[in-house]
Amino acid sequence: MKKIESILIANRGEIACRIIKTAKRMGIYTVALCSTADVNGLHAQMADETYVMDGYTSLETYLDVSQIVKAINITKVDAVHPGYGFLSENAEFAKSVTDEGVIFIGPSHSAIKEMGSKLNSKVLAKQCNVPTLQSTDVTSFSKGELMDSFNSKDLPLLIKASLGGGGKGMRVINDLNELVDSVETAKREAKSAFSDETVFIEKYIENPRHIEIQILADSHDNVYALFERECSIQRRHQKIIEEAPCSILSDELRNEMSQAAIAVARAVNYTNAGTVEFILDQNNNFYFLEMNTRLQVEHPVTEAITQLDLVELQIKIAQGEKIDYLEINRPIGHAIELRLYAEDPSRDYAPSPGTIQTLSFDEELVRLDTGYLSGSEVPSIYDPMIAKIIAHGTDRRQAILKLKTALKKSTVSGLTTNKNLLIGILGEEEFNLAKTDTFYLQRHNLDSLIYKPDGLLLKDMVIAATVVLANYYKAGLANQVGVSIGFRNLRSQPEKLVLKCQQTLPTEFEIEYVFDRNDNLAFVAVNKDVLNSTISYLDSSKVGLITENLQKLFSYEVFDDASKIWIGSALGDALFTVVPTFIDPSESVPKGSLVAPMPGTITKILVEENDLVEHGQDLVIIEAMKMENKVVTPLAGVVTSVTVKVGDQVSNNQLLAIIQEDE
Amino acid sequence: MTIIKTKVDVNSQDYVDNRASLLEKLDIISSQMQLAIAGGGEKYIQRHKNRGKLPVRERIELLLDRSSGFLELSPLAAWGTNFTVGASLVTGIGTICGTECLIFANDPTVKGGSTNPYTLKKLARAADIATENSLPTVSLIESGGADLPTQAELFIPGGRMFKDLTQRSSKGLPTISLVFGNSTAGGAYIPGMSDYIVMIKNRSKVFLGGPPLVKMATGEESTDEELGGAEMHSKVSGLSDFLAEDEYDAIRIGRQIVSRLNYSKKGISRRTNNFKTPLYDIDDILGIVTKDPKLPFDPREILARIVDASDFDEFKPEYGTSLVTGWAEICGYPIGILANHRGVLFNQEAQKATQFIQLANQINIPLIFFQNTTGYIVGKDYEQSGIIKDGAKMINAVSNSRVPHITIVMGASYGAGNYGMCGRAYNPRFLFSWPNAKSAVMGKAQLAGVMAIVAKQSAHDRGIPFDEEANEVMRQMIEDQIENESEAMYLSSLLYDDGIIDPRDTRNILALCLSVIHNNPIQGTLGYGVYRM
Repeated sequence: MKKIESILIANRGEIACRIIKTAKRMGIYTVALCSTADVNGLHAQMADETYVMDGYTSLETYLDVSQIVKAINITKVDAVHPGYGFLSENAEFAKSVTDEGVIFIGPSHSAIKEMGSKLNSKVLAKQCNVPTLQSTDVTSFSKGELMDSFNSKDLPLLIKASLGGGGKGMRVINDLNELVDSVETAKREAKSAFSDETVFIEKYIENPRHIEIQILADSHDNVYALFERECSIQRRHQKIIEEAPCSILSDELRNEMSQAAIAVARAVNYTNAGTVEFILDQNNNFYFLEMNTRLQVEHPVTEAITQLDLVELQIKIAQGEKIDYLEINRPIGHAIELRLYAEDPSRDYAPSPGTIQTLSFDEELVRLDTGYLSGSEVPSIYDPMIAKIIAHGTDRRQAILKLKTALKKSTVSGLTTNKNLLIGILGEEEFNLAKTDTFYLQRHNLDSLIYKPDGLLLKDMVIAATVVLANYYKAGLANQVGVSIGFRNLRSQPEKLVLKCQQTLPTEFEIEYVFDRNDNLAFVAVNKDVLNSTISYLDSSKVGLITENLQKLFSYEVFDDASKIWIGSALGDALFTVVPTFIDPSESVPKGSLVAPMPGTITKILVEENDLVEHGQDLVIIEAMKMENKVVTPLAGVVTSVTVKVGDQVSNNQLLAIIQEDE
Repeated sequence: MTIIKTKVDVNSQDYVDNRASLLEKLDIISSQMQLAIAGGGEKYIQRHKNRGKLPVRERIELLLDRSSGFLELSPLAAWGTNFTVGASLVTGIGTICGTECLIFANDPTVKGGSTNPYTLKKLARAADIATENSLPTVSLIESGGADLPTQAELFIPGGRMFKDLTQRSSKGLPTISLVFGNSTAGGAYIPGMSDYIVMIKNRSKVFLGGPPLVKMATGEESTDEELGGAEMHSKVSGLSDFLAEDEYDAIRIGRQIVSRLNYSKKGISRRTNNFKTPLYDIDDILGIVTKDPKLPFDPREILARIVDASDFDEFKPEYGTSLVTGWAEICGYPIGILANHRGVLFNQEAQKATQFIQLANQINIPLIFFQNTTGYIVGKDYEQSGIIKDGAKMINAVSNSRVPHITIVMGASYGAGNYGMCGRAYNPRFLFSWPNAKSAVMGKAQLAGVMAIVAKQSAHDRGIPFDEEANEVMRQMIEDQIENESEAMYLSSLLYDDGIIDPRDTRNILALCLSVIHNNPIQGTLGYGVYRM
């Protein structure tokens, strides 16, 4: 097979950047692809050459096989790396690439195809004597058929509505006598809730862990299992924290699962990197879920504990090299990866696209894989992941500490992210005890889980924001240049400022303050609490305060015409909004107004004017970042007006409807 | 460029004593100023708040731009009289949406915000400042009208208020009136003469005669709202241009109006934006100003703590050394300075001042006078060498000078020295006193002594014996009266200055005043009265 001297990366964002980095280190010429929305994207800038595809959406670009084949022909590359997502597990694409005489860095298209069907892969696994979880459609089963299909060994069972999700329409069966009635009830519920009575029965796994084995196979019959990853912390069935190794896995079990994974891989003559996913129950029984025939998002944790570069190995395997030297007996230390998303966990993980003002992590502490730079826009049409942050420690505790410190000290400003949720999880007791399962986030009260700066630190951050804003206002005055901030020859009262912050407790702050002749603080009170605080440092991005003898340095950023200010500290950050002193009565929002929680497109309106609505009822669906986001009413009452129609593009906080609350 | 080198020893006993003395005076003055803030007292302020109304100073604070400065004027008006300190009115200069404005606001907690003779004087002074410095005016009105017991002192001169308003309007200096409550009878013309009027729903009441008066005059039955309510004036009479929902809304609309005035400063901009602050701590001034007014102090030590980078280029440093003259900048604004060194003005000093004032006029630079003078020298030699002629030259120059003047009384201001150094009668744009300031025709001892000599002479002429004992009593009485009348607070009460200031605020206040002054072009004169040579 010919050597790879140039690669086209058929992807975008962090994974494209990550692949380019390794390729460049290997001396390989890199060609990126980009949509018109991504011309200034980091991956397009990092590559030696970029093919700009026509179109904007994923469907028009990164998912368009014909455009990519055209790019391959024009750029005459030796190989294509698909990354993850998009066309990475599309057998047709893999075939189109190889049909052009170009190497596809991944498994053969037949292996992709065989593993692509969940049903087929389960059959395959079963044939390899790997345990699987069977799902049986029982909608049309008679009583007799039901009783014949299950026995007491199968207990507990789970009845699941086909269209259900997030726990809705699920029932657990512990006693076979309940089976028939429960199926009937579940069908009725499913029918009324989702207008479809289809229900499945499968084995119920309590507190399941998501464990996956990294596989690496060359074309010379070497298949390696590069240990496991645990990816139990998920939201909306998407992983947000992944680690390797899994801390509760014994060497025996690890070995057993690895062998199972290797067996599955061998069954399809698998080559290149792949991942076999399992569910692990509380009794250490594991069940095959599926095989991912590509590089995973979370591959860096495996890289950390094996000290390997998986992309490099992928390339080597793709050009036919023999990989017969990977004998790693034990994982080296412990690694954890966090996925930083542009989303708002407190609003049901609603995507929050926008411009990243600053993105900065201590890269001596953690590995940062990102496709964005400070100033980049996170477009609403692609995945909202901003970055992956990976820490490697001698043990799990050290990895957690490194991540927690790096996250708290990081700057991610300009848009709402899940950063404080991640910090919260890292500090939570069960997570620290490795009591993790895929229901972890559902089990915990999100509000108390999300990290919130509080106490003196929070007050200090509020004072820092006040100092910065007071100086900003002063600098904006064309008159009275050189006069001290807020000078009064006869002072009757302090100046006042009201700030709001969604991510702190409390969320509203009234600050009273007076500056002295030298523009230092003479007096400051936060929510009537008087603090002995002086400014020790101030420049265009940092402010230092000495409060009650403790000196702290904060970073800051002022944006949106100084209506918002971001304050960063070594112990976390906060975005404050300035509450305006005056509200134009004609612009004030009427009571009962429902506003868009994010920018997006209205895809459905579920109510009409004069409809009676109940608390929590869905009113409107907004599509943003590939996700359907329901807007529910916090009030019960009558819909007095609906101000949008299907197809409307709405901006954040745009009025959608007005509900007159029941008396 | 000449950096002043300080010789102040902050550890010396004099410094410590001086500082203690001035701090004590500041305390007294501060306590008196608190009376102005207290307005009608706790009970009336609480009643006002209970009605959902904002205290006057809170209204002003809301009106101002964040982080901007506010120079309150004449806070001690009516001090030592039967009227409340501050004369039920707040006046001052602040910036609103980037425009410097003269603000006046009734304090409705003081006798319903009614106008007494001191209120009138204070308002007239504020009006002069607006006119001289070309400032738009924002008035925050809530007043029960004239204080009836003193109507005789008010009625006739009070007419000036309305004339001033419309004359400023004719000069392109608009007045915006925000009516927070009653503004009736004669008071109704204050908003009535304004260019913009904002009234507040269910709050503003503007009419010439209320229901009882209308009933008496014509027998007509009517209500407050029908006669002068905000909605009526906004929808029917058209007297009100904007109908506000509440006080906040009125202030918001007021700011919006100012933001649309298309106002720009006509004066030249500062020479530099990158000025440096003084090298020495302004706090030191308290220890430099001598406790005993008879002891002079070096004004260069004061200037070193007020002017940019402590950089002061002295003019004629070797000539007429009792008066210091020279050039400097404050917050980038070029200024000329005349400052008394040793209190007495001799012939040389008078000549030096005359020349310096002419030079400033020649190149259009504002002048700042730092007064600490006991007046022009007396005595045979000086009379014979023409001290009157030289003093007259100085007064001629200061009177006819057309560049703006600002006067700071940093100590004594006696005799014709008060005139030559641009006292109140010489119309400085602003005049502020330090707490230790004293002004009189002459010092108390001199004045009492002179009177004793005159009395002795008179007794001798009439051939009656001179009663030494009675004279001593009389002498003490005169000394006490003069002492009281020379005090800064007494003079401030009478509006003979624009306020007593903390010396440490001097740089801030001068910077603020210079900014205000530059709303007009600085244009000196080359024409003077005939100089007596």
